[in-house]
Amino acid sequence: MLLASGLTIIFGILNVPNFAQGHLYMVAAYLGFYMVMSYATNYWLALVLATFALGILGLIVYFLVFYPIRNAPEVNLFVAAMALLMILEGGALYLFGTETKWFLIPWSRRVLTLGELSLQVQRLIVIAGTVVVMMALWVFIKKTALGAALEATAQHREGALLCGIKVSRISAMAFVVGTALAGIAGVLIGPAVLLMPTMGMGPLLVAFSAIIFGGLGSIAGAVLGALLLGVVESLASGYISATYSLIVVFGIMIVTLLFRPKGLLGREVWRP
Amino acid sequence: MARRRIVYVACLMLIVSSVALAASPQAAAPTKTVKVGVVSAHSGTIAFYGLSVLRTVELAVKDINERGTIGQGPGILVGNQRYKLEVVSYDDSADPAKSVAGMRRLAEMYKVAVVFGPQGTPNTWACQEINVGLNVLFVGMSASDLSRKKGNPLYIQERSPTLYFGDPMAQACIDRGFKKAAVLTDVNEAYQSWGKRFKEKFESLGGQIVGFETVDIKTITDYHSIMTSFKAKNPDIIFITMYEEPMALAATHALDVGYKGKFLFNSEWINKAEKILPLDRIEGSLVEAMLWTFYRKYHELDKRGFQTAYIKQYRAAYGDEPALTGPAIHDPVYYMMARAMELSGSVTDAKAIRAACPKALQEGKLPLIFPNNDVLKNGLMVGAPELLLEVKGGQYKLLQELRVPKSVLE
Repeated sequence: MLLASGLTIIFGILNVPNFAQGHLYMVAAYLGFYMVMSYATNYWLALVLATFALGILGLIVYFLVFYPIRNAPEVNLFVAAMALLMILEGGALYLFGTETKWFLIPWSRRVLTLGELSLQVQRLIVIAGTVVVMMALWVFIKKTALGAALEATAQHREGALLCGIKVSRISAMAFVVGTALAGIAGVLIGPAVLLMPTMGMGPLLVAFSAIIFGGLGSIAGAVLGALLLGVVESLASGYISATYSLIVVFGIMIVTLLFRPKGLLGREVWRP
Repeated sequence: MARRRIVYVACLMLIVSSVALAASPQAAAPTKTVKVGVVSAHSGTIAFYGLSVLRTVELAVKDINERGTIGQGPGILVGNQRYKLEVVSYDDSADPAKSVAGMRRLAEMYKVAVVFGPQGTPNTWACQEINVGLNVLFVGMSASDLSRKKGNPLYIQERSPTLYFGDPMAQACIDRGFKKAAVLTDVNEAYQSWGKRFKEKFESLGGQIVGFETVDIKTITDYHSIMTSFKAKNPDIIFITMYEEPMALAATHALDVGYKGKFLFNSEWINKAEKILPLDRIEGSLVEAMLWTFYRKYHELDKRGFQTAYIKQYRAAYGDEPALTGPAIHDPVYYMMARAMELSGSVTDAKAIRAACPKALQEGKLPLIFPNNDVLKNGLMVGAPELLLEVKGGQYKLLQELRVPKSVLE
């Protein structure tokens, strides 16, 4: 959900399908891992630091990679995003090594049991953390001037420019917010999975599916899409088979798009 | 007169020492180099396994260059010529197309007759299409039952097909009172066929398979929904057959969702898995293990000491322990190949080297942890048993040796 929201914010403002979003999430997970496991940093502090670090990385990536080609044809942006993905994966292989890594935070591995329901503490943190961040994002978009500028730019770039909104600054901010969301996602999920340089590909695929299903450029759509896809995937795994769950998920997605090509909450966005 | 005598004696000494030097191969310095190839993943997701292969071959080359294959070094003696071995390698990133390109490059550029690797069934099958034409004898690391059946005369399969262990494993589960089982397997052909074989045998013995799932570990990192589904069907045991860390992660997720039964793990369950899921959390579970895995844990059982020495050298040289692929290629494949070069009298004729492989093992002189190995006509290495272990009191207890009848494998 966090990854999908980040993706949709970046896409809404810049029209860039940031294929590297999954790999930024991977970088954040590794940062969290090293802070916690190598430097004994408190997990919550590591979460905050990694989020800031990813935000800064997002800013650097924006100005180094996407800003110089902002007026180039869309295909250039596609290729740049793909190149960024490969650079991040190669860099991670070189810096973090090829071995899988595993967060060992004893308290987060405890299992809470309520009747037939069992849940690992880290999973609870992921759920609660996501809810909190999504609410904070909603407040930011709907209740602050910067958020309003972000939404206005996503809706009508030229119109926003005419209203005096500094679109290039807003674009940079969109990238920072999008990558910071990937950062939060990476550190939240890190202790529950194995870390490896390719760990971002699976979530990236799901996040892209979620924003297409929910409607490109719509944060509410990304949230709804991610939620629905997750529930369908879990139910299909449980009641049909994990082997065929993705067939069910993508089958439903394709059928939905046949009837609503813009996705569940997608809307017409004016583009020059 | 005295002067003439001195000249005679000096000449005599010169002749005697020359003859002695010529007759003693040990004294001759290595004068030529023969290259051996390694095709494995040095980058990508399974680089840990691929680098273990490369490093193990490098260690074995160093050892042979110093001591020889059967202690008559330095290097190998082929005819009257001594050779030093040199490793040339190619990183295939676990991509079958790159494995083929790597084998071709090593054969054409460096004229290697022997290649170690690649890893994995798809990569092995891809290389089987070209190795005969290139005159390359290779050790493709595959646990599939189909690899040796392709009739490739220059292929060595270093491990018995794992699916056959499914029968005794199912029997052991039934013997321990496990009546309901679930199976989780990776898409990899060897693992899938292992899971299917276990299922068939378990059902034929009156057991019930309540769930059978196949996943691709490269795309799945969350096993909660699968394990929730398994838990709902209340199995006594879950057989998980996949690579090491995902296997441990899947079992951890089963415990996270409240699964209370036991596990049956495949031979990938080694040190790293134990770090993810400590033994005290899987008391009573079963582990199928290779001999090397067991010796690695309990050094005192390695009576000949070759395995322990290898691990020690590896740790000293690379600061880490090798992955499973390291010991798999260390014992007995590498020394067999080098000795076969000596026995065949050739370092370039792959067919002759292959033909000498059985004799190299049957001599019984190689430094192997399990000396009773053989290589069948179809290229399959047989001999060392695999083991079924039970986790008890935080330790592994040997339940039984697992052997596949030679007649099934021939």
